Amino acid sequence: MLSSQFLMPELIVHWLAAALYLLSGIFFVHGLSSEKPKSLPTACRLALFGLLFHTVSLVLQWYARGHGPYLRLDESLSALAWGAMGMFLLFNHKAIWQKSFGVILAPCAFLLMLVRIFATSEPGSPPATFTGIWFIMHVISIIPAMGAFLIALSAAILYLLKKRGQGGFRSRLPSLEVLDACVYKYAGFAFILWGFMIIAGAFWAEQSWGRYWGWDTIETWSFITWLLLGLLLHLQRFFNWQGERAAWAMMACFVVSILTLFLLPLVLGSIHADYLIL
Amino acid sequence: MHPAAGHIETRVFCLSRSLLMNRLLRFLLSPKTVVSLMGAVAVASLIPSFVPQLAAKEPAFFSLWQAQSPWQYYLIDRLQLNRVYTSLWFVCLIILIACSLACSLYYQTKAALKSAGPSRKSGWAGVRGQALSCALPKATAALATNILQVMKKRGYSHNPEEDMDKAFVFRKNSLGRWGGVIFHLGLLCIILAGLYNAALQQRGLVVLSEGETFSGKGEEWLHTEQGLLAAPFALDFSARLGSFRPLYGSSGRLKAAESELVMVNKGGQSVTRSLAINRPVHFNGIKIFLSGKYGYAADFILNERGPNPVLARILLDAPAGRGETIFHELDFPTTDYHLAINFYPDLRQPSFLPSFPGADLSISENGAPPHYGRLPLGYTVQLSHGDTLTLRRVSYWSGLIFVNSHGLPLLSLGFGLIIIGAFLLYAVPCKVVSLRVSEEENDQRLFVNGSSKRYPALFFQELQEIANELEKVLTADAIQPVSHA
Repeated sequence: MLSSQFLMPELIVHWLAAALYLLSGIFFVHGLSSEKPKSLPTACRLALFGLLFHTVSLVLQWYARGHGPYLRLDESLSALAWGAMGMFLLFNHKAIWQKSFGVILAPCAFLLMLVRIFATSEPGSPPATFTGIWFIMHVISIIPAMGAFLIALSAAILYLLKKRGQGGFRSRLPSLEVLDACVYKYAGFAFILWGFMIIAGAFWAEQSWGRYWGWDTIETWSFITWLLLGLLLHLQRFFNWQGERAAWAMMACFVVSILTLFLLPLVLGSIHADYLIL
Repeated sequence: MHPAAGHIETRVFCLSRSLLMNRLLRFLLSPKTVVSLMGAVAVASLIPSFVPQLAAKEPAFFSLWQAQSPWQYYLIDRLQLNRVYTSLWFVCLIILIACSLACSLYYQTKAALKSAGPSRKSGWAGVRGQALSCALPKATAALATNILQVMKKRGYSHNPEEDMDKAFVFRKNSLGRWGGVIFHLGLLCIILAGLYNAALQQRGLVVLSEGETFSGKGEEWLHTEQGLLAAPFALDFSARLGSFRPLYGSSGRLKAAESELVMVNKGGQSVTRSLAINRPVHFNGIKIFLSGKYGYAADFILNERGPNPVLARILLDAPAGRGETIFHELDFPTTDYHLAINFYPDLRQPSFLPSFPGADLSISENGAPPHYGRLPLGYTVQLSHGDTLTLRRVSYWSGLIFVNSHGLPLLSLGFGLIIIGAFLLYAVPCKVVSLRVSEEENDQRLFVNGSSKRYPALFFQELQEIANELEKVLTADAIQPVSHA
């Protein structure tokens, strides 16, 4: 540990950010369920403050532990929450109707940060191969990739909710066509970023072991996830897989991505399992 | 035979050949084929998660499997499911994908080139998005300037050559139309480089202790992999491992490792290079990596009744953490002794002895009760019949990977193209907006229309915003008279 005195402030800021996400989630729900128009902008502002605190927490954590947010499960999940909220707020300022995605994203981010409660072990030092610019690019690109995945998932869930009835909060959601386009758009973003993650990983593997591709479990499943995303985008474009089918397919892709990142390395064994320590 | 028959036959043959080619082309370009091929690769990649692969397990595992379920093993072996990525059907699948990609690229390039020209030529038949209209004031000189300003602010550029009758045509992200071509070209590059590399690559792993020399010849490799068309891997130089230096983190885990490698080529010239994990060295076209696998090489000498002492070098894997012990069992070579060793890389940890390595030993001979004892480095223990065992030397060993790869520049180019292409496809899609002024009696209206290859619903919202903005700007009050400069 480089500067362990930063761990306590980091913890405080972490929980402050989590609380702000929770509060923001409550405001998002209130904004959609009631007709008070001020709730959604307030929720966005709270989420933005949450993101600022979250950023500070991640920076402190990086400084205190001497490594980025990728070595333990709670660190990885916290980084994913940051990616999702960051992407949401980044695109939110341009398109006002995207605010409704916060109803799913903010509680999601809170839950991802909550995993910190279960983190008991002392943070370890990274393995010797966890160095180099490609490694950093590899682990950092997964953060916005999962952010895009989560936004696409939110759009898919909201689409399915809106499809199942009108009135109430559903009337305040964007139109079905817009939600469907968002599923496609963010699936496309996830496709780019996930692809970048795979490619950066390939360069890193070449630097470390002299091969771009070794068909390791995670490598293979990452490739499968990327292929599935590509398949989904092709189906949406050429086979008119829009609406409900596309929403379900997006959810399936998300499940595969979660399996790839968090479950399969533990079950099937992988050199990537180093970030799954809690 | 009629003299014309041969000519007719040739023509029929040519016709059927071109029909066949057309069919093949249609098959390769069909979206159904593309989706099926993608699905097939995904399924093929899934198989190794459930069927053990020859490259990943010991041969003994497969012998046992074959003995236990011969029919199951026979079927899996015949279908090459135990070596998916080197199987014939997987290679055929990849070649089929490459062909489909190449055909698709040809047509995509043609389409992208066509869409680059004036819209008048390509036509507006495929326009997507609904036409929106807003009322205009009477024609003013400022109309065009104000429209241009609004569109410029939204990132659209105007090319007068593309304008149609009474319609302005604006484009945004013109480069975006090349996204598909660039992305698929990148994929094709990667596939071709992968196939080329898979055919010619040579890769070998060797384990060396400090001071040990590797001749680069076949029999000394611990493990080699080579492409289908590659010769057995042999180096034209020798390599000697110098000192190996592991560096531990605060948690006792290996943080970095560095070593000197002395390479001597055929002419006898030697070159010393420092290599580390993630920092390979290049020599004579070969890339050399420190594998990250390392440990301790313990040299034991057994002085038996015979004239010659027996030397045994035991390679012990590094423990998970610094200071932890390593357990190892072996039958001492050419003798009846059986050794169970608890090796201490640093004796300070469990004992009061000075800081050098040592081992706790349990030695038995032909099932006799074992002797127990501690053997620090350089010390000797007495065994039965006057035999002695000495721990003579402890050094580090490290795995070294030698790689002779091909097609890497093409692979890197493919990676780059994929990222650029995907970005152009999904992040900056090409959009075209046409603004048409219609004059019917006294009512002058501006029609906003457009097309975008991606996200039509979101593009329609953008069109609405453009229409609203134009309406706001083009109202009589907002228009400032400008002179035609």
